[in-house]
Amino acid sequence: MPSTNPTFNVATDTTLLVITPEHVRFDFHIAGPFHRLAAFFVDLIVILLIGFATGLLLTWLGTSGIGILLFLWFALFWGYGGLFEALNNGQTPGKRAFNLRVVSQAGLTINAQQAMLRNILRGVDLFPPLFPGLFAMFCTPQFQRLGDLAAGTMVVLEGRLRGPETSWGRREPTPVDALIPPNFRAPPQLIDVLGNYVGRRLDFSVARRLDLSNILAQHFIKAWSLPRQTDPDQLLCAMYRRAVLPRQKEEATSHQPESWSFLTP
Amino acid sequence: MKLADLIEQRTDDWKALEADIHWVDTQRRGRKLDPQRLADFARRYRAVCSDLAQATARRFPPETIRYLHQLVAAAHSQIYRAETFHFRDWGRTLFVSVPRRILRDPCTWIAMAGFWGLFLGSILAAWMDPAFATHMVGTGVLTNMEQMYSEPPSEQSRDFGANDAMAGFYVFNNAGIGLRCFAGGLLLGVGSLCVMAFNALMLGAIFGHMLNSEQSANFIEFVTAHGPFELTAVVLSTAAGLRLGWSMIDTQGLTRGAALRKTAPQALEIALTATVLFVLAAFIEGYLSPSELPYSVKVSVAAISTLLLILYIVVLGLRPEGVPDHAS
Repeated sequence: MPSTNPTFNVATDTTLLVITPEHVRFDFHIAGPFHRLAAFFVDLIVILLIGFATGLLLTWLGTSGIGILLFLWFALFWGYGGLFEALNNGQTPGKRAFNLRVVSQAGLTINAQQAMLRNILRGVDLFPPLFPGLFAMFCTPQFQRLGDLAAGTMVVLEGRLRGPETSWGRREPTPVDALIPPNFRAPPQLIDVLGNYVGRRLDFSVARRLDLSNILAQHFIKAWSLPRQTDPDQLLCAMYRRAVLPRQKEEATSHQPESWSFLTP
Repeated sequence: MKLADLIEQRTDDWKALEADIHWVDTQRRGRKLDPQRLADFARRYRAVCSDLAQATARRFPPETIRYLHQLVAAAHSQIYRAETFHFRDWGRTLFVSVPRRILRDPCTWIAMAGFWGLFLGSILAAWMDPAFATHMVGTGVLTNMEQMYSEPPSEQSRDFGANDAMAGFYVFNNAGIGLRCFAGGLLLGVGSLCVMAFNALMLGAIFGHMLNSEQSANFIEFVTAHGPFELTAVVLSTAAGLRLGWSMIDTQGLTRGAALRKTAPQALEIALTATVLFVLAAFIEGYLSPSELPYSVKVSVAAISTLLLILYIVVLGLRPEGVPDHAS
């Protein structure tokens, strides 16, 4: 039952659900104007450096060099983005530096034509007093500038892979773990709720954490008649650990409270 | 099995897929990839896809699901790579589909009428009233022009290599204006019309003024040879821009976005054809126009270019399509 927990399937405004030819569904994170502006400035610097380097080299060759130089500059100015995006799988050097990639609106790959098109049309997006591209980005759900709209493309943020590790609500057991009845078995919905809470609790301030966790924790504090001052945040973490972590690991440590450690040799 | 065990068990495979993604991403293009590793990559991709599909049912924590989404997206971007240039198709596009489209598109004829109307009107105005040219272009440019054409074209009047420099400049400047004119079409065609009108009026004013001046013979000798290609290129750039803009107005039953996406690649092909014409014109303007060759040569080059353009647009445009498109 993939959709018992709605919170996993809600697409926030910066993600796009992609369904691949293999019928796999995954989310792309759409890149906003500020990521893209940063990448654009990197590309601009690269263009200027290439332009400057070729300029030095070719003016040294004399007036004939200027002709080749201007021809090169024309190709550089109009073709840089299209060429890189077509040859380098949707990434210019600037986009690569910021983990951005151009993909088609459906989340599939772009072709050379789309790459050329969106780059030739950039001039309109940057039309000085109005910057229609920025305006278009704020008006379209996928942050597309006019060139993207015409080419049917969007820019996604691939992000650095952070690893599958989860915090599991702090690994080392706390005294609260011992308070949970040994026969406690979390139903699936409860695991979802606990998982969501534990996954995000570090984003909140301590006071807000207590506030949020108290709503659910009070129920269990009453049901198991735990001491009233039990930390609700710690209780939810402990319940999650009990639900998802293998029992033997937990028992090996949790039944040896730290206060006893110096008594045993 | 507990959830943590399950994730731990799969983590090695996920890490291996991460390494595979990095490996594919950093390989040089066109090199043959190790087939065994590629097969492993595909297998791991399928396995991760199935992990992601079952992630909710297996109660994976949100961090892990987020990671799996990223992992599948990254692998997907490597497996379905961007299509690069199909140079073989370019010939067919340039000589079969583009002329047919140019001939049948009313935008071509609107752009042509608009450009030539404004251009000839401006010539006439500047010819009859000298103040018109001064108003439009300014005296500085006009005296500059008069100086430029004060002597008949000759090899001595330019530095060695100046022709190369000028040809490069004409590509950079004129073809750039052409592409900007096309891009302006995205603003419902208004941008294209503005660029076209501005250039037609300026060129016309300069032409009208120069025809009145004593340097008119030198001026006409200079502009004859490259005129057909350059002026047609301006018209085609405008037509491509208008096509782009008009697709958003007359959407043929599609949404505006879909109509634009459908038309834009076709308009791009016309704009790139115009770029080719600009480059041809730049070479003629850089090497032939300022040369000492007799005027008859330049006139015949202009005549041949005109003939080629008519052949291209009318004859290739009217030719019935021999091999039907796969779309039919």
